[in-house]
Amino acid sequence: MKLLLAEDEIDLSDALVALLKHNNYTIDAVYNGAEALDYIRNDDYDAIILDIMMPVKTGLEVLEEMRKEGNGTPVLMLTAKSQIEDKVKGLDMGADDYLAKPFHSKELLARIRAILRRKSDFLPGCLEFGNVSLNRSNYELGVDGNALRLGNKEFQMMELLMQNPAHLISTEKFMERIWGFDADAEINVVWVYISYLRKKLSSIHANILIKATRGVGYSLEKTDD
Amino acid sequence: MNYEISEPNDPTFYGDNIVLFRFLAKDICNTLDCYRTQCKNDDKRDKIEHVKIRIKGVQSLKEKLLLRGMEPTLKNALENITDIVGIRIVTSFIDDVYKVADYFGTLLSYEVTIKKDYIATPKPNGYRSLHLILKKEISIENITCPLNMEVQIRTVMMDAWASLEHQLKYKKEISEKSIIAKELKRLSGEMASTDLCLESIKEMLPQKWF
Repeated sequence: MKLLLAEDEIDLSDALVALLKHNNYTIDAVYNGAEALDYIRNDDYDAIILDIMMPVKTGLEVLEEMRKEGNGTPVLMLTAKSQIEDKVKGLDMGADDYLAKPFHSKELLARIRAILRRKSDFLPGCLEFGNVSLNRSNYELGVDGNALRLGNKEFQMMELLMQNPAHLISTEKFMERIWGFDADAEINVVWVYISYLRKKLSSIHANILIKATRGVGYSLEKTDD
Repeated sequence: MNYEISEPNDPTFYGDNIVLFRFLAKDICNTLDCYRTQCKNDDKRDKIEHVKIRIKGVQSLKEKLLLRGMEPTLKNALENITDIVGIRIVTSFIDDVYKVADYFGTLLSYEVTIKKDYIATPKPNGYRSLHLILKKEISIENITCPLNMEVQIRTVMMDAWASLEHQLKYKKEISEKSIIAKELKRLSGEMASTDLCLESIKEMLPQKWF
């Protein structure tokens, strides 16, 4: 399991990293909100631990931005004991749990295990990128009034692309995430489904497109106009 | 190819004009025949699945005029209604819809006066089709007059959808109308999606087959 820890108190951060590593987690540590967002956008974490009071961007701002971008990774917020307002705000904005400082290490580990169990509970109903929206309740890909209903695999591929806009997703990752390791499907099935999605994006006059990087994978990009 | 032109049960309302409408309907049939022959020669594939042509029923014409707040007279009909002669062209694939539409744009004897692309922008109920209004100067004996006609071009799937939606719109005794309308709207998105998958697969196959 890979975790991101965003905590600006260096001593506390070092102690937590040691604790989490000892408990078999892979962990990246960052020390302000802007860094946290960079890491969140560029990597795929199983859970994120966010301190609220951080320089550059607060934990709440990071949470708000990542959820807006469709990132549903479980988040545990760390708060100072008195900040009831922050706890409420954080939970309402899509945090999965909070822990008031100071806390016992056993409780932190238990809460991390709990949010990992609930992984993918928080899902925004609609993902948006450019002029395109992807509705998670009716699987419709649309621009304004023109909506097309996507099939199961197409939807999952589009969802993965829209959750990670402008990031390269490898063909193998699509295969692994959507078809699973033991599927009978051949890897070029990814290319077939990418063709479907491209055709659909162009038919609804989307201002985004799926860019291929030869031999590597695909990324969702905005068109220039 | 033989096209059957469906006519109103009682065309007396149209007077002598019915001759002009028949002439126009026949002319568009001949034009389409030329196109289909040309397609078969060029790339060995007829893009058109089937064609329906009709001269509008008098009752529905009068209702349309009344709906627009006009007296149901022949003069008003000739001046304001552009689909007295209507033709529906059904194709297998979406790009064929646009190819057929482009063909009409190249004709010297017809002018495309209006183009409505309900495939790019479907109607709120989910209706998808490409509509053209064509104008042609008809000369018979010593009379020359401009006549309009409506062309609807769509895929087999869009056509099947539209025929169900048409029933929903005009049959009064259907219960559960709202849920059916909602389902039709959902299916419209699903069928359009499938149409585009078919189109993608067509593009993956060797182009000489198309």
